[in-house]
Amino acid sequence: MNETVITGLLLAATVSGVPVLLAALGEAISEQVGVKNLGIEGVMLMGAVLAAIVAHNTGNAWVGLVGGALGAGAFNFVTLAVPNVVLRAEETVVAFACWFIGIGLSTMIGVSYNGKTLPSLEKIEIPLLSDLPYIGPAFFHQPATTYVAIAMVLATSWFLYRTRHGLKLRAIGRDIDAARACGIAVTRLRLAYVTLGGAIIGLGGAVLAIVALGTWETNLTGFRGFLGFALVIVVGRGRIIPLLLGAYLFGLLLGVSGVVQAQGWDVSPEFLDMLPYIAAVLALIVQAWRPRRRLRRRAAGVPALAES
Amino acid sequence: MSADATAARMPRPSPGGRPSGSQGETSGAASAGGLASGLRQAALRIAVVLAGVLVGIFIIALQPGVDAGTWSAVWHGTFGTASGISSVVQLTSPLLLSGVAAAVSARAGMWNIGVEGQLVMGAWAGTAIAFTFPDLPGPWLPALVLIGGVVGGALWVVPPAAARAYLGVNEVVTTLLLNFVATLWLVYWVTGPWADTSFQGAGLGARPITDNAMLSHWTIGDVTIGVSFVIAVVIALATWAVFRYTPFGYRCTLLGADQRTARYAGVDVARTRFYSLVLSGGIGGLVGVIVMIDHVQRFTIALSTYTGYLGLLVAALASASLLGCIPAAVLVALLSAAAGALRIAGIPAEVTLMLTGLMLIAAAITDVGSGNQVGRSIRRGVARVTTAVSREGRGGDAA
Repeated sequence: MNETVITGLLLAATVSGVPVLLAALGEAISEQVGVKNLGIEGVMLMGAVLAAIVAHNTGNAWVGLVGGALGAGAFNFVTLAVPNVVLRAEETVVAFACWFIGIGLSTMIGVSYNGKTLPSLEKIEIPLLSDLPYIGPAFFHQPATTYVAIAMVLATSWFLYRTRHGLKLRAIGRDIDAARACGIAVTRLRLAYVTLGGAIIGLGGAVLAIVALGTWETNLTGFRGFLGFALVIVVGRGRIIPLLLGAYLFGLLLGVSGVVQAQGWDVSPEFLDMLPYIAAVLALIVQAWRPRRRLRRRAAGVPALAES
Repeated sequence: MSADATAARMPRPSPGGRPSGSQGETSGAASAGGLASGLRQAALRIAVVLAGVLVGIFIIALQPGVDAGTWSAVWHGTFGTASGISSVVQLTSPLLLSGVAAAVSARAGMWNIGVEGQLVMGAWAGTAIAFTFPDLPGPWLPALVLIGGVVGGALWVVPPAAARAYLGVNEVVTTLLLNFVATLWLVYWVTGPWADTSFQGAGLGARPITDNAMLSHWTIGDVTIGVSFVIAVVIALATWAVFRYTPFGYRCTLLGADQRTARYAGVDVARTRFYSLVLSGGIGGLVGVIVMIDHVQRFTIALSTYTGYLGLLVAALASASLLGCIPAAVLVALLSAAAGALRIAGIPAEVTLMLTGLMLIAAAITDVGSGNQVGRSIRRGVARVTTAVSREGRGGDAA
């Protein structure tokens, strides 16, 4: 393995890892308030397609990213948050509905944008550090979105564990009845943070379209959202910082195929593409195998409204 | 420890077949007899489908390129012509099997979201058999291919099923992720070992399999009905019988209704979970071979067109009742045929999924299990109408 291969692999890992990281972060926030967002894939698709449409029409990548995130948040609000939190419909059914609507709607409105080149972001070079061998390009010569994503993870962790408001959110996830008894506005906060989580997931999709791939195509997320979902389970509920490492590892596996093809090695790309998904399944199995001491969050999946 | 692990999982689908849910609303149905209750369920589901279709039509009508001609094409593609009806019948069989596969796992309290992957692996196994024994006579080859499909699908679900049953790993995520692996497996075979470069159909395809392996069709009037339809209905009935008359089926239903009760009643919970998922996966594998030897005629990308996911809608509309899957599958087949006809207006096939999602939301909101006000008032309205109708129907007897 020469230097180009390793440098390329690390770079590909960062590029593919950021969308997964954002998706996992959004899902982790949603789980903090006790709602599993299995519609993650659909929300991500909506974020991607809306970002592509907005960016293509305005010619500005930043406007596209913001548009994608906001649109995906709104989509998540309508198709998942309201049916789940307010109308108390069955969680998994609603989540799949959200996914399916995301696939259908994004494909339909994105038909005329298939394969169009999107405006891109300039890379920010951090002096000196970006010249480091191997890790320079992967970590210190990146578009702003990479730094923003990492900052968002750190900020979320600080927010959840170091602020009063974050404590409330964790309380909802841990015991909804106790939270309600303390006078926390459970329904309102759930709605708000599931929607916020959706917007972050959508930002992941937007970054995937604009930064990582530079284009929109039908079903472009390719189950990356579900990888993010699996990552949240594997890392363990309520843990935010370790998502960084996990997302990077998934990014590494997602990037392998491209690097190998660029090198012209004779391995079927399909088998390389399978790696992250097989790894995710194995990780889930291994995670369940080891004895657990984590705090159980009893309110996960419990409707937010009091029995009437 | 395993009880600990399962208590924190997401809520499970309510097992169907019974008008489940709050007693206040269903006690009336008991006195009015099964008819009113069945009618009410059906009316509720039809309302759900209509709501989904209406929202869908509204969204589709906003798309460029949709005009009056589009809607007339939809009519011709579904009821309007004999070929339309034939295509609905053809679409029904995979959807019915897919719905039965989803319903089987739902009745045991689990979600098998991996039917899409199982159908690919089933079709792959079937193709491998057809390539190995191309000369088997008469019905033997299709029979062997069908069995191969069942085995392929069942084997594909074994890892997630074992992980779910014995380790408590969320089967939703694992079966889902494996779908993508199966799709890549398909791409590998149709671009690599089995590639057919001259294939002109939709997507990539493998070499065609021999005609011996194909299922035959009957023509009644101008309408074509395949053997596949009969197979699908027979499987649905057989599965229904399994759940109605065998201890295994009873254990599954008990487990789906209440895990703890099942445990105290001495049901081997892990084993029951495992086998119900394997049964579901086997039926999922059958979906793939049925599509293949009924009309696609080869192992191709075109096999994986969301049929496995549409099965969720079939099962949800049927409330996981195995007999209810039959009308629900016809309904969803109609939708698929309509969506196929929409393609001339440049509307992608994925629109079916959008409609599916809208209906699933509507079904979940109005489901008896959910305690919201909207669903409750809709149910009350429907109940009033259906009770009145069924009373009227029995009026002569009562007097």
